Amino acid sequence: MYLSEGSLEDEIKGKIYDHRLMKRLLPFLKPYRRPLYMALALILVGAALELAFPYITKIAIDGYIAKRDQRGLLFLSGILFIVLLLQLVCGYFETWLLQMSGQKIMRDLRNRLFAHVQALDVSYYDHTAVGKIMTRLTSDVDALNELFTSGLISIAGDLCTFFGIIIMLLYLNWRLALVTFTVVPLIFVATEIFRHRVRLSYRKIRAAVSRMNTFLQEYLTGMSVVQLFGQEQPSFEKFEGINRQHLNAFQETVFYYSVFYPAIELVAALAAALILFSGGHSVIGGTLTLGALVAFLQYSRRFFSPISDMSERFNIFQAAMAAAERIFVVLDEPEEQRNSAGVLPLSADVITIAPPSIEFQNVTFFYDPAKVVLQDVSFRIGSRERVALIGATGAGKSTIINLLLRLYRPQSGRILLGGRDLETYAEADLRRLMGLVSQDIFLFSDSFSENVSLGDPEVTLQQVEESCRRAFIHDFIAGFPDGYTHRLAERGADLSQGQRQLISIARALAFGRPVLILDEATSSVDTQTERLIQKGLETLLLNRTALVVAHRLSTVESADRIIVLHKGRIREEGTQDQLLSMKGLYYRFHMLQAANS
Amino acid sequence: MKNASSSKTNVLTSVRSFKRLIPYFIRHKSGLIWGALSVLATAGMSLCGPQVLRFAIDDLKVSITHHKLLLYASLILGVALVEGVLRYFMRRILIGISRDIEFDLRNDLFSKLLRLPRPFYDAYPTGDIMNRCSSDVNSVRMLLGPGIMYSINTLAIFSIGIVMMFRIDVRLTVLSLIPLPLSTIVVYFFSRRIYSSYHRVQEYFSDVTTYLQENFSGVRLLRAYGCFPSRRSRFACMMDSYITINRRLIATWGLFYPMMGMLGGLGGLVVLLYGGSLVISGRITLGAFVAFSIYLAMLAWPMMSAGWVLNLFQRGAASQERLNVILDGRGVDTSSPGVVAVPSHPPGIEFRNLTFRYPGADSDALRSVSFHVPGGSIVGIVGRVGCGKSTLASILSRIYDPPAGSVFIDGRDITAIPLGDLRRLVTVVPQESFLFSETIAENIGMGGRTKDLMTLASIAGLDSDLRTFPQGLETLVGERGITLSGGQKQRVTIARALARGASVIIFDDSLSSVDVETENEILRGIQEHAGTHTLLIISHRISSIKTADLIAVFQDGELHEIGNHSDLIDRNGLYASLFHREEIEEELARL
Repeated sequence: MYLSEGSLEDEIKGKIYDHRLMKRLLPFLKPYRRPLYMALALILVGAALELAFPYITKIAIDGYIAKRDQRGLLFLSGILFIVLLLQLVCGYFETWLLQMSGQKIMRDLRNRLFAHVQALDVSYYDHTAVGKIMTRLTSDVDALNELFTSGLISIAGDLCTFFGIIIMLLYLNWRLALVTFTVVPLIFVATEIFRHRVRLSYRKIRAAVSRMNTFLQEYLTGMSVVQLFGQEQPSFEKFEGINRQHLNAFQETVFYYSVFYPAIELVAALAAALILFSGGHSVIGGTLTLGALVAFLQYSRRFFSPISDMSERFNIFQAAMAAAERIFVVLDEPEEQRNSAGVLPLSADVITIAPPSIEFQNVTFFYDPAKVVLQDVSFRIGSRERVALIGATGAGKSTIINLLLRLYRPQSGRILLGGRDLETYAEADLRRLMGLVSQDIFLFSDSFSENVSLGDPEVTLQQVEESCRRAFIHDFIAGFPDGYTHRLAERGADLSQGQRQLISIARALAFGRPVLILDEATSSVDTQTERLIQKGLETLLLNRTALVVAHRLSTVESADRIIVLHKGRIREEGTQDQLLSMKGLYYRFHMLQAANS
Repeated sequence: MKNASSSKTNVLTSVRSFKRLIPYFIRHKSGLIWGALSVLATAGMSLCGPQVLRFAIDDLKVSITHHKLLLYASLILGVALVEGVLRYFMRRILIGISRDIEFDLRNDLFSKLLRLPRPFYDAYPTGDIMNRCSSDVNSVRMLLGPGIMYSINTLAIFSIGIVMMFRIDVRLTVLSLIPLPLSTIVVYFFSRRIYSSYHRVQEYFSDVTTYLQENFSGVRLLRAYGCFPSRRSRFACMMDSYITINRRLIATWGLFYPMMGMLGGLGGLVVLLYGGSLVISGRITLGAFVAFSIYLAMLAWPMMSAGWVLNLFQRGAASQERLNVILDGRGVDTSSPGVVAVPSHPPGIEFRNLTFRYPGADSDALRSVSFHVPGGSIVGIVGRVGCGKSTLASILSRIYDPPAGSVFIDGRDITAIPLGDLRRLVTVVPQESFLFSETIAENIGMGGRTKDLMTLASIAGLDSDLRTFPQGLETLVGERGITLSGGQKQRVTIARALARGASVIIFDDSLSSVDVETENEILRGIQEHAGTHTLLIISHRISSIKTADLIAVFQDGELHEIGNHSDLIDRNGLYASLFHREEIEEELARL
C-alpha cells in the first residue's frame, strides 16, 4: 500500500497544465479573487521597483556625480528611500494577501472534502485505506496551495522581472544587451542538467530515508525479540548497510550542489567579463556611459534568479495537477443515494409512546453473489423486548447489525422499524432512534466528556456525568485532577479493556436512544469490572428494544428470547424454555452448562 | 513542545552537550582543517573581484587600451574560476564531513539502542526515539555542516571585507555598516519566531490529522449515532483556528524578506549619498565607489546568515542533549562469555519467594511466588488477564531483572548468569508474535540455527501453510511480501524459538490465535521435546495445558493452586471453575 502510493507520487510525470482540472479548481479561488488580484498587482509593482536600483545608480554616476551636483544626489537618495519603503510595503502585503488567501482556499477545500467523504457510503471505507483518504485531505491539498501561492501568481512576478530586465538592457544599449543575452542559454542548460540530476538523486534519498525509517520503526518495535535472540550484531550490520546507502544518496547531492553553485557564479562572472570587455569598448567609443556600464553589471546579476526559479515552478505545477486529479477522484465519488421522495417525516409518537419494534422480513444479503451472507432471514423484536443473537463467528451476526443500522442495504427483503420500512426514514431521524455498543470500542484522543458525547451539542455535560455514574465509570474519571476534561491518549490506549467497555456503555446511556444494538465484547476483564459491566448493561437495556449479540452466558439467559444463527440462516428461535424443548443446538449447549454447574 | 522548552537552556549546558561530538571531530580533523582553509581562501578570492572592477572603471574613466581591457575581463573570469574551484572544495569537504559524522552518529545511536534494556523502551515511545534518530540527528548535522561552514565564512568575509572597505574610506565604511548588525539581530529574532510559529502550526496540524484519522476510522460508530453534522462543524472550527495559528507565521514570514531588503538597501543608500559626495569631492574614485557598493552587498549575506547560524547552534544544542539521553544511556552487556554453557540435561527452575514490581508501578506484579519446575517437565501456567503469568516469562528471560536470590536455574541465581549466556539457555515465544519484514527462513533462522529449518517449521505446524506460499521458506513477510494471519505468525515465532536450541522454552500465550486442532498438533510436536527440554506453557486457555506435568494457577500476582489436571479438578477451586467456564464458552462458539 505504502510502496505503491510512494512510487506513484515519485513518478509525477503528469501534465504541467491541465485545462479541465484548472476549470474545476477556479470556483475555489473565486471567493478570494479580490485579494488575489491585489496580490498580483503588488507583485508587478514590486518587480518594477526591483528594476529601479541599478537605474538610480546609473543616473547618479552619469548625472549628479559627473556634474558634481550634491543636492541632486540628495534628491536621488530620497527617491531611493521611497523605493525601499515601497518595496517593504509591497513585499509584506503581497505575502500576507497571497498566503492568507491560500490558507482560506485550503480551508474551504478541506471542509468540502471532509463533508463529502463523511457522506459517502460505508462501503467506500471498506475498499479505501484510511491513510489514502488522509493524504487527499492533507498533502494533496497542500500541493494545491503551493500552486496558488508560489506557482500561479509568482510566475507572473518572475516573468515581469525577466522581461523588465530585457527591456531595460535593450533600452540602455541594445548591442551590449545582445552580447549579455548570449550567456542566458548557459544558465538554462546548467539549471536543467542540475535539476534533472538532483531530482534523480532526491528520488534515491527519499527511498533511502523511507527505508531507514521503516527499518528503525520495525527494529525499535521488535527490540526485545532482537535482544532475546542475541541478534544485536547482525541487526547492527543491517542498519549500517542501510545507513551507508542513506549516506551515499546524500553525498551525491552534496556533490551536485558543490558543482552547481560555483557553476552559476562562473556564468555570472562570464557575463560580467563580457559586459566589461564589450561595454568598455563602447565607453571608449563614447556610445555608452560609465553609469550605464555599471547599471548593466548590476542588471545582469539579477537576471539569473528568475530563470532558475521558473524551472522550480514547473515542479510545483506538475505536483499540483497530480494532486488535483486525485482530489477530484474523491469528490466525484457519488454520495450515499437516498430516494428522498420516499422519506416520511417522523411522527412524534414513534419516540415518545413506545420504543419501536424491529422486524426483518425475508432479508437476503451478500457482498459477493457467490457467497450469500444472510439467506431469507426473518424475525421480529417487539417493543421493549430483548433478543439475544447467538452463533459462531461468520454466522452473519455483524451483518444483521450493519443492515439494521442501514450501513448496508439488503439485496432482497425488508427491514421494518416501528412498523415502517427503514428506507423511509430520513438519516437524522433514523439516528435518533438507534444506539450502538460495539464490540471493538472506538475511543478518540479527546476528553472523557467528548468521548461520551461524541461532540454532539445535544448531549449536555450533566447528561454525560449522569450516564457515567450509571455506567460506574464516574469515580474513575473523577479521580483525574482534570476530571471530565482529561484527554485520553491516542485511541484511548491508556485505558483498560474494562474501562473502555464502561465508557462505551456510558456513551449509549447518554444518547438514550430507544432502540439499542449491543455487540458484546469478548475480551476478558477482571471479575469485579465484569460485575460492573453487567450492572451497567442492565441499566442500559431497561425499557429499550434491544438486539444483543451475546458472547456471555449470563447475557443469553437474561434475554426474553434467543435466536440461533447458523451459516446465514436462523436455525432456532424462541424463549429459553421453547428452545430447550426443541432439543436442538441450544439444548446441547445448555445441557453442557448444566452438567458443569 | 519539549523542543521549545529545552532550546532555552543556558549556554553552559549547551556547550557541555557538545562535548560528545569531540571524538567525531577528531576522527575527521584533517578534513576539517582543509575545509576551513578552503573557506578562508574562497572568502579571500571573492573579495578580489571588486578590486579588478575598481581599477577597470577608474582606467575607463581616463582612457584604456584594448589589451588592458582584455586583461581586466580575463582577470574577472580567472578570479571567478579559482574562486569556483575553491568554493567547490569548501562545500564538498565540509558538508561532506557533516554527512559522514551524521553516519557515524546514527550508527552509534543504533548500536546503543540495541543494548538499552527494556525499561528504557517503557519510558520512551517508539515515535519519540524515531524522532531523535531522524530530526534531532538532522539538526545536529545542520550545525556541523552549514553551521560551521557559514560561521567561518562570515568571519573571513567580514574581517577581510572590512579591511578592504577601510582602505577605500573609513567614515564611509562605518556609516554604511550601521544597518548590518541590525540585520543580524533581525534575522536572529525572526528566524526564531518563524521556527516557533512553524512548530505550533505543525503541532496543530498533527491534531487535525489525528482528528481526521479517528473520524474516518470510527465512521461506523459516528454514523450510528448520527454525529456527522456536529463533527463537520467541529472540523470547520479546527480549520478556522488553523488559519488563526498560521496568521502569526505568515505575518512574520511576510515581513522577513522585505525587512532584509530594506536593511540591505539602507547601506546602499548611505553609499549613494555619502559615497557619491566623496566621489564629487574627489576623495575617492568612481571605481572605488562601485567596488565599495559591491563589498557592501557581499557583506550583507554573511551578516544575515550569522543570525541564522546562531539559531542553528541553539537548535543543535537542544537536539544534541536529546541524543545524549540515548548515547549516555546505560547499555547492558549482552555478550555471551560462555561462563554458563547450555547443559546436556534439561535444567530445573526454582522460584524462591519471588516478589516483583515493574519499575514505576505502584503495586507488585508478583508476590512471594515459590515453586519448583523439575528439569525436563512441562509446566502449564494459567490465570485470568493481569494475574502476573506473563511477568514470569519476562523475568526468566531477564527482560526485567528479578531481585537477586529469587529465581534459580539448576541452582544458579539467574541474576548472576551473564545475559548472553542466559538467553542461550532460556528462550521465549513472546505473546505478541513480532516478525521482521524479511523472509520466513531469516525470521526462523534468527534463533541461530540455519539448517533443517523445514523440520522446525513442521513441528510448529507451518508446513501446510508453507506449501501455499509462493516461495516457501524464502517468502518475504510484511509490507513487501505476504501478510500472515495471526496464527501463522505465532507458528513462525514458535519455529524461531525452537531454532534457538535453548534447553528452557517458555511459550507466553503463544497459541492464542490458532484453532484448537492446530494447537493440539503443535502441542504434540512440542511435547516430543519434553524430557530433553524444560517447557513452560503460559496460557489463558486451559485446553492448551491440560496434559502438562504440573499446572500453576495464578491469581492477583500470587500462586493460587498447583498440581496436575485431575488434582486441580478434584479440588474444585479456581482452576476447576475456569475449566468449566471455558468448556461452556467453546460450545457456544461452536453452535
